[in-house]
Amino acid sequence: MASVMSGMNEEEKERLRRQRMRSLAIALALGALVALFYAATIVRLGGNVFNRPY
Amino acid sequence: MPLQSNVERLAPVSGGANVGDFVQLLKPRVMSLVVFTAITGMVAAPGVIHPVLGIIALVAIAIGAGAAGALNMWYDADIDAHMARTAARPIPRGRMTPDEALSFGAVLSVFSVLTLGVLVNWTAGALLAITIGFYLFVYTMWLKRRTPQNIVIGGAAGSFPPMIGWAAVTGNVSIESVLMFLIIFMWTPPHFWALALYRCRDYERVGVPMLPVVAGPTETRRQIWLYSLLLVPTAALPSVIGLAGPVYAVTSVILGAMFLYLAWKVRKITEGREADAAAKKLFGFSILYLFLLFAVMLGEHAVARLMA
Repeated sequence: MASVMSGMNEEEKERLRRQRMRSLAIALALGALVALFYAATIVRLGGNVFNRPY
Repeated sequence: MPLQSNVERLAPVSGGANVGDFVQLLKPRVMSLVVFTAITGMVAAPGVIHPVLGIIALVAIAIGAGAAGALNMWYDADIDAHMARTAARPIPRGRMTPDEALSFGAVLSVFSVLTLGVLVNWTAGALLAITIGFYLFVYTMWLKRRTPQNIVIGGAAGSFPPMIGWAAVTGNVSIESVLMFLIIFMWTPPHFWALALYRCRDYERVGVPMLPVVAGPTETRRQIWLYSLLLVPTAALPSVIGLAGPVYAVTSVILGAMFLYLAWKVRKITEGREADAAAKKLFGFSILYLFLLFAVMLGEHAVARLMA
């Protein structure tokens, strides 16, 4: 990675850095969405979460 | 007449935007007022919502409102570039392409509506969808560049959040939530026209037919006054129908009197720097006015719940 980065000019490095931050933000947002749906499912099912007939 | 897009001239590079630019697309300041009024709607509504679902509803409403802001910035990038207040937005500054803003806004719109609908209830989800659609299609695309009544009708989009909050708890729309809607709806014209009075030249340059540009400042001052006369009694109604208590009643009357005083000054002082100062003062006070009204209503309901 470092050797690839060394061949780039400052502008490209900056662009890559921003892209990485954006990817990270998207990953976090998707993670939050999963957590949100998980939490809402638990809340909505309440005690029925443990109701497993099989 | 719509301006030709000049965004291409700025040659934005796809992938050049950072996370902060995307946050800016969501209009965080507008979002904070949306969240605040939505919370008021939720707390004032009869019944309870599980705190986790309440937080999810607020997040969805906030993201939905932000998505509408992003779509607005996508569509209006051509005129934003020519106005002092909006020139630093991410697209006119060349930080991202309009397409990026469009995809961002569209994805968030769909996700926020689905999340609210699936996890909370579909009345709230549908109201959020209407809000986003109204802001984008009715206000931004249709009315904003065509009629000086743009912000009167477009103001409906900004009036929905307390209604969505209310619907998140109760699952329906009722007279109380319609009243909260009406307060913001009546508040929008004097609020925005006060700003337009001293930012008139900006709007004129980009061809947006704001009332001071089309009908002149005198007519604008008259209409600010008329809408203020409608707003103040509307804002006092919550105490009459039992949506708010005595503290709100007193607050709404005192703040209403101050609002009318400032609106009257805007109407009477028409020349020179004092005229601009009067408009600025009304604009600044209008934000405080709405914030305090909802804060008191929120406070009253919160205290009542704690005492119960």
